[in-house]
Amino acid sequence: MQPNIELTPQWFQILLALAEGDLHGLGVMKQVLDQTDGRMRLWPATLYGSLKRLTEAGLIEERDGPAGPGSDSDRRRFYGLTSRGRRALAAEASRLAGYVATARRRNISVNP
Amino acid sequence: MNHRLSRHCYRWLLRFAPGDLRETHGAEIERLFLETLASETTHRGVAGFLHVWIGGVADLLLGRLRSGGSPGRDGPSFPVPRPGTNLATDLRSAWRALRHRPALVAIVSGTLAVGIGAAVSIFSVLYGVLLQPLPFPEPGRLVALFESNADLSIARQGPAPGNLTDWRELNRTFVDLAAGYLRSSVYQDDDRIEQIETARVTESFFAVLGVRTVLGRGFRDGDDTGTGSAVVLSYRTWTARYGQDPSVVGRTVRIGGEPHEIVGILPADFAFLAWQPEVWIAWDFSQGYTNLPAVPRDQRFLTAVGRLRTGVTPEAARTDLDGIAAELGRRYPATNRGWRTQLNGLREETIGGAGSALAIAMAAGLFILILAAVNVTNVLVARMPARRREFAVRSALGAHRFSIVRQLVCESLILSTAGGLAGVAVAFGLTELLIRFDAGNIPRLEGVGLNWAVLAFATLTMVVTGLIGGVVPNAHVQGDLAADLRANESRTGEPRGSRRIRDVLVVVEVGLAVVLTAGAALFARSLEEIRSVDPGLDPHSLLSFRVALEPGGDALDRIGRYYPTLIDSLSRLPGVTAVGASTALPFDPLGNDFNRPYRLPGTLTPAADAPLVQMRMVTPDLFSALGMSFREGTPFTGLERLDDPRVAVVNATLARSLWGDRPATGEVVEIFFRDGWQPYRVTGVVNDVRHLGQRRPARPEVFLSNKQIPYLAMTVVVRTAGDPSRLVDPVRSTLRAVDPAQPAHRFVTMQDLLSASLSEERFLVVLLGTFAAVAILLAAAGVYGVLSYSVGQSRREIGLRLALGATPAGIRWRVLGRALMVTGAGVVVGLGIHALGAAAVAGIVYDVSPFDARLLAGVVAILTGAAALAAWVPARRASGVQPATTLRGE
Repeated sequence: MQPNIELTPQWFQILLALAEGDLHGLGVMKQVLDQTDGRMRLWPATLYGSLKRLTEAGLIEERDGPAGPGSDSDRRRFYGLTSRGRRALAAEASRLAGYVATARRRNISVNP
Repeated sequence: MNHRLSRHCYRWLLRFAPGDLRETHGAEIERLFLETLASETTHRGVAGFLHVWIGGVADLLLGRLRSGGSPGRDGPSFPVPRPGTNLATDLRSAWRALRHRPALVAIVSGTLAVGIGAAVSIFSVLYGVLLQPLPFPEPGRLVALFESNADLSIARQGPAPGNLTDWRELNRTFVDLAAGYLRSSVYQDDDRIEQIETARVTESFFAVLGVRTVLGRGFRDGDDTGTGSAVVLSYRTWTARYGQDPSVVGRTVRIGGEPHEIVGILPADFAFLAWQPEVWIAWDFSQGYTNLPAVPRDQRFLTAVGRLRTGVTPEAARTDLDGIAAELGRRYPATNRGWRTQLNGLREETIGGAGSALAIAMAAGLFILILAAVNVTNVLVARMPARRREFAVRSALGAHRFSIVRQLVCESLILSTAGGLAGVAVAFGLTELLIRFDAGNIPRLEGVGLNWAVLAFATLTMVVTGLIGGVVPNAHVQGDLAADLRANESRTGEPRGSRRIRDVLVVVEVGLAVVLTAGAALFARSLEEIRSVDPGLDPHSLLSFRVALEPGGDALDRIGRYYPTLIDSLSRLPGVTAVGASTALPFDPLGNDFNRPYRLPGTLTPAADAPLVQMRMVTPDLFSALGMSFREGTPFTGLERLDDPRVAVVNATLARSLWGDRPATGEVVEIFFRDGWQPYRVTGVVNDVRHLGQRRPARPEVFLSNKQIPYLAMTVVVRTAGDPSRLVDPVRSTLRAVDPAQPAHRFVTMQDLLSASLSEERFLVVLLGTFAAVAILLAAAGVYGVLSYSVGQSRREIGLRLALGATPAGIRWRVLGRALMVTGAGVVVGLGIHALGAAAVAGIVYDVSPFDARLLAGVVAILTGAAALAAWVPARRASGVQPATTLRGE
């Protein structure tokens, strides 16, 4: 069982982006930009550095993309969540939810 | 910026990304960047373009910083990335390559330490003395002032008080002028009475220089009036005499019997020319003479300094002062006709003649540095053929050629840094030695030390030697490395490229060693020549010291009583054989620029046009005490009275200039001194004494009786049968017995004075000699290294030759022949450099030509001998090769 780890905000957002389906680098970047309302832009070296390390940590893995003639998937790597990555994402999300709940209990107004 | 250019730039910047990431994801990173750049530029125009570029560059550069750290707070659960190819990695792998070669590291960094140490220590002296600005505000505006007289061929002389007063009054180019002179005085505080060096300076002195006292104040208006003028203490005196007690300000001390108030303390770093007085006394020009007109115009003895107005050039100031001097010449023709002014920057004046000696020393230091760097490069080049395989393997595994170059440079930089750090330590000690070693009148040594400029120089030497040592061997990484890998090791001989580089390096080494050795030999010969000059006296067993009676009403009486009593008492000391006194002693800079016009009676040459004679007021026993010999006649008796017809002893140079080869005894010379032209009857002629040191020819000199021209300050010489330094204590007690209130100072033996007059020459000989020895060793090591390496590489070839009938002697001669070829080329190069530099030293050496054939032949012989000696061992080894073993061993 994976210990309860805290992910960096970037890693959390990358895992979150991949939760919906496999993406290549540009897709991850766009998805993260989208889901953070443009607040987090993962620049290329940071993005691929994180993807590389997440892969090495076994949280994500490289997947075959939707292959087809004329598609550029042969030159692009796609990434997808591993089960371990999914557990880490869930754990981090619960942890964050716990903080949100604590904030609510202390009468901090939290928009849904 | 178009798309292609962006791609190129980004691709170049990508090398800053961690290496492993670049390898695995470089293409994708680049593609993502370019896509983002294109889309943002389309949507937001220039703003988008800039945003992506700035963000992208920051991403690459910051990413490199982040990559070292662990990503999560519980980092260990994630693997830390392996560092990529970058400077840190290069240094690490360079360090790994060196770590297991302690001998290499020791030899290389030790050699560099010697080179860098020598260069840095001499640079630190050079910087402190020559380059560092004077410790005054806006020092560039400070100039020293002189009078000059082309008709009398006097290039410069300190101005006379009367003239300086007028310059100060009438000029339009100076903020202000100041002047002063050094004089020893009796200093009395409570019960302590001592003779000390004092400077008498105008009130304006510290203001002109811009010096602030650390305690109390400088001089101000009214400080110099009357007898109780204000004084300022030097920092050294305040420390040594008063233990930095702040309450000394306001205290009254007696100087020359008169009360003076201490008003301030000078800062520790204050230095003016080579002056080192303990006390600075506010002085106005009308005080302090025995029996002179109030403000004389023909007593040119002051040291004067002025601060130029902003924007005024020294030339403009000189034109200004020359106008005033011309007017003074018209108004006072007897004293001022033909006299003009001369200005010199205070910095140049402070540095004086120290420049040329230091420049030579610096050149020598740089030579040693180059030699060390060349030797190190040689060692590193020698490793290359062996390492070619290593590089070939790395290259085959995908390493870029540039990364191999980088590693070599890093290795060399590590070595040069180690050498540099050790070199700075060496320089630290060496600088201390240099300062301690009496290098003659090198000023400002107190300002010498390790400072930022010196450390910057040291760093520069490290980087440059490191780069040279790293880049030169790279010639070996050129060519087809893979071919090397394919070829097996049974190559014969050393590669041609390596051999050529190493030969060139040894030629450079031998050349530089030739220059240093020739320089050392030249200065050594010069010193020998100077030493062999007959000084005209016997300097052994002589002790001298200075006494200065205080001026005042009954000065003449006191002079008449004190000196005869003192000389009489000293003569009775055991071991003392003769005692004399003079206003100025040979080889002693004190009092030696006292000149007056002279002429033959009957000629009516005006004083301003007459040649000058050096004046000495002496007791008659001075001649026998110094061991001077009479060419004709005798000394005066010493029984003359003030108003008797005046008598004189002249030196041979003066006698020759007036009377040619005819006898001079009984003749009369007229000297313009005190009451205008006065006749002096010659009682005898002494052989010349080289008064200004052995290398300066004698000038016309006249010795007058101190009975007729009494002087307050005299230098007393005591000749003894034994060691003169043993005489100091008995002489001191005699001085106390004669007059407890009259101390003496400057106790020094004549040998020391003579030796001090040669200190600059000796300094250069010792320095160049040491450097030359180091250079010969380094050059010999270079020759040895090259040959020994080459023999090692060529064992198989040598074995083959022997097997085919070559004789061991023939092999030996082949190796020696190569050594002599290389040495010969180096000698030619060295002699060439020597010829180029000869003009620079020709004016410094004495009576030796830089092209002296015997001297240069000796140098060539030494270098060739050293090279042959160094080549002998490898040559022996080559001829000892056993063909059978060597060939079978392959």
